[in-house]
Amino acid sequence: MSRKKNKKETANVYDINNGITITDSISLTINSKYWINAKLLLIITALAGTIGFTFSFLSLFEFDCDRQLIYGVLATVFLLCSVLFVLPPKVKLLLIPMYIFLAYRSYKMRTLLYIGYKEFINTIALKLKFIGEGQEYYPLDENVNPTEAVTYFLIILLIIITTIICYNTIVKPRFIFVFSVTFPFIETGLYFGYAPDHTPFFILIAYWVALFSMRIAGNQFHSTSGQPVFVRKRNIFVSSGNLKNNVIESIGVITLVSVCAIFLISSAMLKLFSYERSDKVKYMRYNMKTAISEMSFEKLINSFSENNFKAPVSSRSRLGNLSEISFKNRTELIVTIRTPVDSNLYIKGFTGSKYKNNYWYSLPDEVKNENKKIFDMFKNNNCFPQNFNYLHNTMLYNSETLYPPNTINVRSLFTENKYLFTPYGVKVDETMTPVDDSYLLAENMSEYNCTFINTPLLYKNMYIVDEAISNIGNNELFAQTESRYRDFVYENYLAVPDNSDIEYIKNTFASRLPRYDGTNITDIADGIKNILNESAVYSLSPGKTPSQTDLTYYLLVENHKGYCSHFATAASMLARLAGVPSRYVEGYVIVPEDFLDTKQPNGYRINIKDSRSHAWTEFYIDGYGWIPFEFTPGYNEGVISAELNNNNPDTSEQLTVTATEITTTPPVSDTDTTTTVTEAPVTTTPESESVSTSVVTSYVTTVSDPSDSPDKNKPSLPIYVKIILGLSFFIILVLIFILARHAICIRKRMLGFKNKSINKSVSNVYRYTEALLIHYGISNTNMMPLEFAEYAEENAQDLCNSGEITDLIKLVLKSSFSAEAITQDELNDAIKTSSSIAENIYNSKNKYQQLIFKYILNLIK
Amino acid sequence: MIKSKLIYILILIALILFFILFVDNASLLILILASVFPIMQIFFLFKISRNITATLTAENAAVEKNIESKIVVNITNRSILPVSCAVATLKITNTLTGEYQMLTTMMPVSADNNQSIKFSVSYAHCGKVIVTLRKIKIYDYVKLFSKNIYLDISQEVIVLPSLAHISPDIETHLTGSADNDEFSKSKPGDDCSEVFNIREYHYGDKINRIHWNLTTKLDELMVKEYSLPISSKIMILFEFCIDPSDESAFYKMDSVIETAMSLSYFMINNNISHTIRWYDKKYNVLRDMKITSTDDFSSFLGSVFSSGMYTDNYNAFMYSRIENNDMTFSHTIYISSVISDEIFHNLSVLSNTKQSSYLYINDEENTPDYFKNTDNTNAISINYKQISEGLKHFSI
Repeated sequence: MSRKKNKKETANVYDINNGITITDSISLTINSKYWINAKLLLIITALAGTIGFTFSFLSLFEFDCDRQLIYGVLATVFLLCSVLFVLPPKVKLLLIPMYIFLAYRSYKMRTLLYIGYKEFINTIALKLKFIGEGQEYYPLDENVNPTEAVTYFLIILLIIITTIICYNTIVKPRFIFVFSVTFPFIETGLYFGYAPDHTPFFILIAYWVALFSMRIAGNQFHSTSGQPVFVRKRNIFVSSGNLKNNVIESIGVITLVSVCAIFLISSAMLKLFSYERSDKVKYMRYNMKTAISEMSFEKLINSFSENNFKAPVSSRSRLGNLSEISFKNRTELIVTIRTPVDSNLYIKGFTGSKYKNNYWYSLPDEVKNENKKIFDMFKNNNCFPQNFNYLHNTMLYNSETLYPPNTINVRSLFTENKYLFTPYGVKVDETMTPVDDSYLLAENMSEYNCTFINTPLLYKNMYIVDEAISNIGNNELFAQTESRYRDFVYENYLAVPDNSDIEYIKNTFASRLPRYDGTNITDIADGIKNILNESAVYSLSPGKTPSQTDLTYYLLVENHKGYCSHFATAASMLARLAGVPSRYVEGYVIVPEDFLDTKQPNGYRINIKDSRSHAWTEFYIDGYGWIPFEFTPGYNEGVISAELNNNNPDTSEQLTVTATEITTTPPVSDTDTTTTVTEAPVTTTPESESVSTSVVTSYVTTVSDPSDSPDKNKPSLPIYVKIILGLSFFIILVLIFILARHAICIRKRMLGFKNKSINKSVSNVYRYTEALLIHYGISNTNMMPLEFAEYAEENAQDLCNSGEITDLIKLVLKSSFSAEAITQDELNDAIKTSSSIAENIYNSKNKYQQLIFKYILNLIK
Repeated sequence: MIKSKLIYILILIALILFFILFVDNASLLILILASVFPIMQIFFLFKISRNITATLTAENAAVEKNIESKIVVNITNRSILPVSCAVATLKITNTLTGEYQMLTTMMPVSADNNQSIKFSVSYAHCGKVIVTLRKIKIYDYVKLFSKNIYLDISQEVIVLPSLAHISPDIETHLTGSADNDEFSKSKPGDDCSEVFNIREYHYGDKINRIHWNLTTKLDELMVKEYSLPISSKIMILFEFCIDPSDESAFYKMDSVIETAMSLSYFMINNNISHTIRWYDKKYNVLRDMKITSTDDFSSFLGSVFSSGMYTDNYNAFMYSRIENNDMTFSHTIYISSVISDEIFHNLSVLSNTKQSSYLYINDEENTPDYFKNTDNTNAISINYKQISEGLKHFSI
């Protein structure tokens, strides 16, 4: 059993007025009984890092490349690096020719490399859905072989990263450096919801944790050789990195193995118990994503204001005043529905009948007074516009077996209870009081039960209308009531504001719509949808509508973006201009997926949050009543978009946009949108809300300026991704530059110390020492050499032993003026003095200053 | 460690958010890792703590003042897991002066290994030094947790006083008592009842010592050397008091001990038995020790260093006066770093002393004016830095 002894005295002197003096002399005797060589342990750690990163990165983005070749080259490079890095420092220099050759080859093949880079970006952009299938972020020449190019590019990239990993694990373990180089590549995928293959990813994480543990446990691990084994601070002796007892290396491997074991066991357990994310977590995720995407400084300010709730359903403010919609994700309604529905369920609340100055109002009192007889007739006949749908469906199907009545219990939590929230097809029973032709009241406004028939009333099912109308005559009472109310509707629900904006809308857009003749409601709805799709896109933050501008005009002509209120208002205006009685409605939307995992003994209990608040349009269908029409992109079921775009040869771009919009409309859940997208001829990711936003923006540009060149239609990376990538590369470049500069400076200085002329070496040592002293604040201001020596000795007592600077200056004088030869020992003493001064200055600084001293000023190795 | 815990909590929060936001199971596995990792660290810490032992050794049980001595801490780790950071804190206390130093070392310990760390310590003042290693604190690999391993081991080091050289030519005027029949075989004295030696006259010899008969016979001046009675009743009484306001109080106290030791050692070497007396502050008693051999001398040191100092200036004198007034000494040597005219003039009251000496340890060389020697009492000023010089003027 051999024993080795490390003994080094620190340069610090500690003297206090105490009879017990602990001297600087400290020695450590350690038993050098090691099972495995320390360097081998470091190589194992580095290998884990290299394998983990390479496989994670390649699996994450699925590059079309020659993987065998990449693995082969990387294995060779790793082997070379690990062998060279464990050998004495000078041997590392052998890597320089290799990198020079690599640089030369890269230069010679720069064209191929550039193509590889473009293909690299294309692959990432495609993976992250910045571009669609078959598109290219960077157009590539068809003659080039992208596989070869990207293989070459990846080889160069991975060689650099492998070298960084090896160096910063084997030579000087630095967690921060390695992490900041490797993490951004993985994070790019993680940010967009893509995970690498689990096994290499976990190995990479284990490597990060191991390196972090080594950093924490080792403190100044592997500090510059020549430093003392212990560093003294007062009476505390701390082992420095020069204490080589295999501990840090062992900790690295132990952590690596144990972290891998944790992953292995955890994975096995998850598989064993078939773990799946709970709906609670899913819902939490959805809420968090919404909150994150909605977060802005303006909203933060608004959150402190008194009237800060901006969900459209409860907003009674001027429509255009809301520059953006924000949600608090708070539950407003709790509904319990007996039987789940298989389509969107619209819960109606406020009804806007009259539109003026960008405001929707309920039916004016004077109108109600004028038509009091009609409203009395409703009561007398027990037949209200509010339950026309229910009555009609009952009559139409004449049976409750096809569409059996459903029940809903509504409990209102936050919204002002000025009206009931009821689904379409509601049965007005004795507990409810219809108010004019728009809404219902009840004794208990905070909780009530309704019966309704959920029939497919939406736009795409309009074929049933004709059949419905044909059956209407079976109920004379209904027919009489509807007939009289129809006149009222045509008198009051066709009015539009009389201003130039609406006039412009009428001439520009409404003129493209057919005139309503009682039978062409589908054509008109298609036309409106077409106009809206061409002219505007959905946006949660469209900005405020100028006070003197009509909302519809601003949406269709100027701003080209809006949220549901904008679309519903514009659709209503366009419909009225085409002769279709229409009105604006606010309420909530429940999607079929909301019923998942909400089953209770008494039905399906759903918490409706403010994010599900919505606005839509109602058209009056003769003989049938008010029917909801959806014109906000993302709320329909994809039929209109597909139909419209199939007939339009120039709208392939729009097709993508429309489909993507569907995926990104916030109030609709991811699952729902995925289903919808499947119907559209375009595939998109359900995860990419922010991506779609940029696509939407791109679409607006296309619409507003059709004469733009095709390049402008090229999808672009989001700015923050560019910033992240750019910053990462910039940081890497800066770090490489600083390290290279440091290495060159130190090398140059060392060569200066080993000059063929020993006198010049002494001179170089003195210059270096002088620079150190100047940095320390000791400069020679017209003093004679020995006078300066005395001055320096006085002021640099903490830096070196007494007399050392004098000896150095005498040596310089001797080298300059004396014929006597200088011995190598004298030179070594001088170098030792300068090194000692540098070390002591370095140790006297804080971490930040040490970095500056070392890497910026390059005054220490 | 607070910083590490804070970082860990932040990472954990970040990973919880990551788990919620990231659908893939990888996020859950990473969260599990973050949750289990600290538990694993605690487990490692527990395993290691059960396998760590340490010993403390002082290379020298007794050292001289201002001479470096080594203290060795040997740490053995029998675990297969290394220790990233072990902190051993030593307390070095001089029980006599009350001075102490804390010494801390932080170092990693290899797995299944032992390592010893050796410190050099020097002591400016004599006394009994106790080096204690109370515990070793070990940390986990990411410094989230720590565990104390209590050891409570200690070592004693005696810091010896520097014995001042006393010239063999020092005057001795000891006379035996009536029943005294023991005389030194190596050193002459003044007891005229027994002749020690007859030798040639040297300059300075007293005239009354000339052996006239022999001088006549040999035609050369011959003198008689009388014997030195070794059973003389000599008492060395010293005060262990310090003046807290005096910066050199500890050094003076050292000199008090050293003077007493030097005299005692000198007497032992000359086979003069004597008594050393001091006041034990620790037990509040007056201690006497009859020194007749070098063994007695050694044990005396340990007893003295355990006593402790006091700031009441004349405890030894006062207690001696009270407790021992029926004893008689031929010579009382009172050593103190405190000057007192009153004590000086009252030395004779101590135990009916025939001869009294006041050895005043100070930083001057001259005796104060009010110390006027009489036939029975004399005062000698001893500079605490030059004890030997001061004792040149002293006679037993």
